[in-house]
Amino acid sequence: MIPETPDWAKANILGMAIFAFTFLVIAEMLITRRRNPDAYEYRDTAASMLMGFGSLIVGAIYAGIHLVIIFGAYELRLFNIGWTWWALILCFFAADLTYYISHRLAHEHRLWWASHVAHHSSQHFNGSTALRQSWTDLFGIGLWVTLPLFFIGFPPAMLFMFRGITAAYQLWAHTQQVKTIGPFEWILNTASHHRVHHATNPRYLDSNHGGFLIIWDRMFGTFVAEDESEPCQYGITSNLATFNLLRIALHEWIAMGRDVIKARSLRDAFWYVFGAPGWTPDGSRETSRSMKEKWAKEKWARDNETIVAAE
Amino acid sequence: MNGSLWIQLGSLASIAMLVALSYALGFRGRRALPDDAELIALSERYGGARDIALDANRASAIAMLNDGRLLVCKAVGSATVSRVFSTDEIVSAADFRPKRAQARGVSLQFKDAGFPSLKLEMAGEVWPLWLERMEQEVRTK
Repeated sequence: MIPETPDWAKANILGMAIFAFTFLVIAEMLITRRRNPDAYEYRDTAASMLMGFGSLIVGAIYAGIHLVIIFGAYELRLFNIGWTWWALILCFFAADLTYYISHRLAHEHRLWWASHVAHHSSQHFNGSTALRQSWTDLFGIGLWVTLPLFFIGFPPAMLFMFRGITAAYQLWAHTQQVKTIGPFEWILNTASHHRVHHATNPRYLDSNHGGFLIIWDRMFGTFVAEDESEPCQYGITSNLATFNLLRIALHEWIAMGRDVIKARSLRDAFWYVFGAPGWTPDGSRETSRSMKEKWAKEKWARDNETIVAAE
Repeated sequence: MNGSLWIQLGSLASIAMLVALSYALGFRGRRALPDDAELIALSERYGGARDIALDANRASAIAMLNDGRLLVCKAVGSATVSRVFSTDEIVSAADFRPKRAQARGVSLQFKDAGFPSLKLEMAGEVWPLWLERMEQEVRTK
């Protein structure tokens, strides 16, 4: 039997947050119009927001399929966990950890990056960027990483609530207006950490995957602090030259499909799909790792230039 | 109409309002590409360029790199985007007649779904030989 969901947990947290967020976007536009005329661009804003709208429409279709899988796993649950205080605490941390894992996988493997790349494809970083969401999440990894929690026996509504809170929380993190929030930077995923996450500077690539908490990045070695001496360059390493929504949603799927078709072996085809974005059999394209290594080498050479010259 | 349809219409109206507001507040950044010198500097990253063709409106540019590949640049909103393509990544090339007199334009389509096309407008009927030749090659492919 599914434990009854308390009334307070039934609120549409994300829906309410998006409504309130609209006013934050207006405020950000008004604040930045003189200080940073490039903070927004109306076609980019339109593309981001329509991607968000489209993701809600397709998300409603995907939800039916996802719910069948989720309740299938929940039917086989190991424990009957109710809405107790300790379950809420455990579920909060477990949901946030699974978010971190799935988000990290979405950056490190092309199959899931193909879906997630849409969110990173704006060269702007502002409130509207938060709404630029994937249209192909049906093929995302999030569901599969979270599924064990339903199997353990956490009530689906409890997990949906925490996922809603995480999604709502992250809306505000998409801004350049908030520099730091003091000691909270140690434990929370903040605007500063999320700017780094969206940056394409080699040193910042594939970092800060946390949703609500940043502790997972600190624990698992993917945390990178924002460095004021190196301003974030937003977007993706091959930025899009279009505002066409279908191209934003599908460009990486198309590129992956072409690579698989021209693959010389099944092994190559496998790695084109499950390898890191940018993987090629001959190493002719760059991956995040190769870009970071190149950057580290160049930095080392710069830092030691005087020592080498002296020797 | 049911509730969810109203919510969707409301969402679309909010999007329209925010986009209109961003336009009204002046967020219409139209970036012009840098001049030849900066494009040459950019091409150095890829081994240097033999020649550069810059759009008359500075909205796009193509450079023929020393290794025979193309460096293409395009202004997209308030940002610029560049790619390096080999000539066989061009799907099609078509001439167009720009509004300004004594000018000629070419529109190139690429295989890359994230960088689908580039329009280049140049003064005069005579173009750099490499660009003329490349266009011919693509057309006869």
